[in-house]
Amino acid sequence: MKTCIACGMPMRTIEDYPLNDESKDYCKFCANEDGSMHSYEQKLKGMSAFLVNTQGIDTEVAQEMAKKMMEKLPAWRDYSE
Amino acid sequence: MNERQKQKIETRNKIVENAFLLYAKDGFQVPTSNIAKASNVSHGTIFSHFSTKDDLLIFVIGEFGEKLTNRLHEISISSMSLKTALSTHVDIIEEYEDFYIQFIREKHNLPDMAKMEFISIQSAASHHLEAIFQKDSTIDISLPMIFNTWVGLLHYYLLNKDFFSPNSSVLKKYKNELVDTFMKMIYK
Repeated sequence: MKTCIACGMPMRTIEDYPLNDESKDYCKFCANEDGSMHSYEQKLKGMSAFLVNTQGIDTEVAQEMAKKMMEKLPAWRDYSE
Repeated sequence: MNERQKQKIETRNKIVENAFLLYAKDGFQVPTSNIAKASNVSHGTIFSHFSTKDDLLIFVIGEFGEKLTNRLHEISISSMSLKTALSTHVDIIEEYEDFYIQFIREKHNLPDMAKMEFISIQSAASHHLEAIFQKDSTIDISLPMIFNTWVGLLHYYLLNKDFFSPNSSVLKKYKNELVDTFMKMIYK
């Protein structure tokens, strides 16, 4: 079982992959409509919005936390803005 | 891998395992000398594996966060009914109950990464619960409020375990009541 390199979610079924393509190393939540992976900026925005929308975290704190969470993930480990 | 390397890994695992157990039992201020004693190694051995006390702490919390989020993802509670998903959420926290209590109690005094682990754990749960809440149009409460009310309820019982269930798992004792009450509250 692969784990998404961009958000850390385990990909257990084919439906978890973008466009059902199991050769990808990232999940459907981290993909654009054409199946390509989100950019760092897109992911940071998406992850921050998720924290605000599901847990009510303050916008600035959510961005800071999202950056820290992304630092741990293989897709963004060496990324510097 | 030669014997020496194997032994080194075993010692490291033993230190991590005992640190986890002692943090869960006594909190994160537990001296590294106690961890060394429980692991049957010299105090200095800990620092040949982890440069500082905080490095060990950060590693153990990171591993705990990863295990807990993986459990939440594995079970994929989003495909369950709300009631089963909430029960499963309680079961998963219960597996790590003592450590989880220390973690939420002392989070503010821990290195910054602990906050990130806290958010990661809540995010794995909220990701799956969100999918269930959104399928149910009869729930007329905003997503963050419903999620935080649920987690707040669990954390209240966990943080006051000494009053509610001093000698056994508070989540095991109250699981059904907590889940049933929450269901009644949101469907009223």
